[in-house]
Amino acid sequence: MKGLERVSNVGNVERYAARGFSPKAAAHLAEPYPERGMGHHFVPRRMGLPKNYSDSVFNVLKPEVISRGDFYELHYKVDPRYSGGSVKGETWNGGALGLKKYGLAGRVWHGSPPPLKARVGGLGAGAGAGMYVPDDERGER
Amino acid sequence: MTLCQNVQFCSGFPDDGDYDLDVQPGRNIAEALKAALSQRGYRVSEPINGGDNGWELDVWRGRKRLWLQISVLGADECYLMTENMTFWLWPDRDLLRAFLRDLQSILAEDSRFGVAGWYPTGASVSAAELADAPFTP
Repeated sequence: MKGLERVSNVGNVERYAARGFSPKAAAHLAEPYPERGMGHHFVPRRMGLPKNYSDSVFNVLKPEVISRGDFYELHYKVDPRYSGGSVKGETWNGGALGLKKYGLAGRVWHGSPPPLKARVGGLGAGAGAGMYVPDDERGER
Repeated sequence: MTLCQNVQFCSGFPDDGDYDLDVQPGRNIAEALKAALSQRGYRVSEPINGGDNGWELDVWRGRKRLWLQISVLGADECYLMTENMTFWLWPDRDLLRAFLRDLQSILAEDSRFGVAGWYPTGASVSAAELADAPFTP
């Protein structure tokens, strides 16, 4: 499986270079998303859930085999607060790359970690979404 | 009335990201905002590493909490997003408006910030017409 990951990542370098990133940034984007990466919190950390749940596999979306660039794309789609970031000093902007953000249902489905889906199914994901309804679904606060 | 809780700005701060450790830039911006908000009577957390999203601050006025996130995509493309963390059934809208007014004046007074405009939560920044202010007085 390690070999497959490397082949996949080598392919990704070309993919990111083709999007206009420098070789250095493209290589960074093509690396596997690191273990130390924070991933996407299904219920945002600012909501103040207990840390041992907030940072657990039931709340953090962080696929095991995914490049940084592919994770950023997934993160952009599922997180209303993620516009992009800096990659080795170069701008990564999901909107500029033509990505579209999911609506609420897409965020719940694609943004919920597999262990949460497996453990409690749609009911738990719905409960998680009920605990956090972002401003854009709620109107002015 | 549309409330624009987010602002796009240019930054005169140096890039303080640590890309080898996957730490996004913007801590220095969060530090500057913490200092400025503290001077205006807010209680402010230390900058919180928000991972890929950038840097965050928890901000309190009394027991009521607000939140902001700084995302640095590049020196010419930075975003500051805010959220009202007061009880969602009875959100303190006056507090949020006062906070946005304070942020507006902080960004205007510090030459390291170049505000491009304000936009509402949920709007696409590229599609949104950026406003000069978070709301009309």
